[in-house]
Amino acid sequence: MSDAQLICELPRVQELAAAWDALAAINAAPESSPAWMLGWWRHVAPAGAELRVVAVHDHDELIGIVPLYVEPDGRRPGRYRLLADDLSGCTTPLALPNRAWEVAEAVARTLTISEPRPSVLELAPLPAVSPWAMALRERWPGRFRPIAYRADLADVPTVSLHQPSFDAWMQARSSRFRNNLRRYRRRFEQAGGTERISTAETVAADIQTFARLHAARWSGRRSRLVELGERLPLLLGEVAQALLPEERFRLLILEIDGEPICAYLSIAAGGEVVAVNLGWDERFRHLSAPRLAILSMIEEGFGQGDRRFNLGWGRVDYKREFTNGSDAAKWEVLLPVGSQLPPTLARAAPAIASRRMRQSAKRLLPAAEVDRLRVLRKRISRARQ
Amino acid sequence: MSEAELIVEEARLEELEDAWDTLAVANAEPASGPAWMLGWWRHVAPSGSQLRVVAVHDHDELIGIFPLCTEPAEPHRYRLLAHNFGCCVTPIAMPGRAWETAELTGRILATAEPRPGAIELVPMPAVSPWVTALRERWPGRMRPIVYRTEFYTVPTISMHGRSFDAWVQGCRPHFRANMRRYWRRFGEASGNARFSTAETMAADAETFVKLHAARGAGRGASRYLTVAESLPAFLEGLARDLLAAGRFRLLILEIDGEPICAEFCIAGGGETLDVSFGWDERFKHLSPRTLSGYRMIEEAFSRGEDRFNLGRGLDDHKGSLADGADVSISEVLLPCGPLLGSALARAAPRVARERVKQALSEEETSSVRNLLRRVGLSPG
Repeated sequence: MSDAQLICELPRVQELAAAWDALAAINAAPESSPAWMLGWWRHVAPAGAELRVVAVHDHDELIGIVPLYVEPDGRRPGRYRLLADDLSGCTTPLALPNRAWEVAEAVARTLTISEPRPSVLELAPLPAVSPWAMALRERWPGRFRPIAYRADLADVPTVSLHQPSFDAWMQARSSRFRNNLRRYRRRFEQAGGTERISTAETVAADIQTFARLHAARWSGRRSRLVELGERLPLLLGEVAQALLPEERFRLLILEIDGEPICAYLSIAAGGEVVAVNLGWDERFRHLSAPRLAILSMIEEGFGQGDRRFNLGWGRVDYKREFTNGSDAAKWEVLLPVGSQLPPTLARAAPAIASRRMRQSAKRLLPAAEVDRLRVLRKRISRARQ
Repeated sequence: MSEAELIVEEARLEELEDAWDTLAVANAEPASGPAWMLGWWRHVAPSGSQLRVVAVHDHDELIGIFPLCTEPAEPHRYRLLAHNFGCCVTPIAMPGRAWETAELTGRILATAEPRPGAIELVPMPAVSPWVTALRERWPGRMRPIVYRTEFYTVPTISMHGRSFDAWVQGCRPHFRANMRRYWRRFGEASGNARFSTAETMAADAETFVKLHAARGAGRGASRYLTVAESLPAFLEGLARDLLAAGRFRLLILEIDGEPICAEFCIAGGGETLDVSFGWDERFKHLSPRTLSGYRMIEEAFSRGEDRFNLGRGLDDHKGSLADGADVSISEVLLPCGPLLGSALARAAPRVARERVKQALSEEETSSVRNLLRRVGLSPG
């Protein structure tokens, strides 16, 4: 018989870290590992947020965990979100294989009596095949299931590492791709380029390098990582401490004559490698550093026996060159039926309408018009900033 | 560059059998492979149904397959092959290629003849990306309307990284004691359990049909009984394709050489799917159904498989064996177009029934059912 516990204190959650991490590995969900989520909680979570982690045990075994937090009072009362949702490409509740629906049922029962009473449950960004939104909705106790809507859906380019080796993977690519990448590597070496993955000795300095290069690259544009400022090295330092010994924290540094020109960070669990982000020095644009970094990360993935390299949602040309597959991430929202439903619906309506309009515009307008609107939206958003 | 092909001839589909089976194994979906689906098409599909299978290739490699057929009475209604044969079925694709396959399938289906008015993806695993992917990638100005009709619990046994003995140890002491007693009693009655071989297959298939029919008599419709005449040929076809690889297992329990229970499973990619069984009520005291299920699980463990799928529905027998559950769902896409109105009209009563069922408690549902019966309306 499974038993759900609502945990609101960090020390109690930390006690579960090892079992939680095992679930993250089984589910191949690096951004749902305790290292990433609890690191986020300590260094990034908004002040005043409250921890609401539901852990489900069968006897003494942790069979599932739904790591949530409640937004600080005053914003939207009773808004529950997944930990690290604003900093991750993909987060998800976790369960042992074939236990997700049982866990969802136990979690739903616990959440209905949690304080504050949930008025919104945001499960995002989830993998497209995730059963959690459906399972929580269907297993929600009471006469009425929560209202559910999908706030967004995004493509996630991926690289399948199912070939027997990196060389076999390269052979399966087009000859043009191979020639280009060979040329980039040659050019990089001729310019005195070297690459290395951070070790315990170099990681502190390398994280600073990553933060610096990322900030330089995103100067003048909005980046969640840049907004973190001093908190970014603290978060990454903590994640590195937990994952580096198992080679699951991979920070690749490309250097020219000892000077870092590109830093690319990914984390891994259960055969899935997720690209967190990168930074690079525009002065070395001619060396195609991002492409070289992705190539090296893929090679590292093969070396580590991983199954998939997830490049993160968002379409960028250099990502598309590498992908041989795609997945999707979805933003699902549940609105439990109760006294809070009318104001919650009223608040959600503009976002739902905006998403519907965006989707309709994409389908109804020619691609050039859609691009024009996209540029316009970016300009307006920059002007607002 | 990937390309999609609409296949309407069985002969063309047979050419893809090996590659299709590879996909079924890669997805651990034994009932979505060619042995099961083409077997159903050859021996079970309603006459007048037309094949509409979309195969997606990247250069010469099959990367995805969307196996559909039309409904003879409603030719605008597309359904998955083997949709009504007791197992979860699904389109399949290579890892990471489902969305691409769905996009190309949507493009082909949007112009297929007869024009699809409803695409029923029924019953599919709940974690399947296909409904979302097909809907989001459907071409044209409007995405199809989607509705969900049913949920089923699918009890499972997780075998990954465990031995059979470890699984038995994890079961309740009461269950273990019972099993020991059942086996002892079965042995004392000169019982014997054996798996069908190529040599015994023809006779064993007939045995299965006979026992299944005897067990099902008076218990309402079994889909297998409505096609009883074709069933031996269907089973023999499965055996031809899967027996040599150990992926078709027909277990026969006998007392003094007389068959008292028959049960069959299919397997692929680490998933064993317990499909159906039949047994002789006269031997009820020997618990043959429990024994055969237990033996099937032992066999799956010995083959190093990852999961034993006990099939849709939860009963006492499955409940005593399962240590997890999956869910299968029934979802229907209604593409927008001239057929939408009639498709919506047909869907409305079904959707309304489900909504009412969800809103009511079990007691209330059963009261409504009784009331409908009393006034002479079928609740079906």
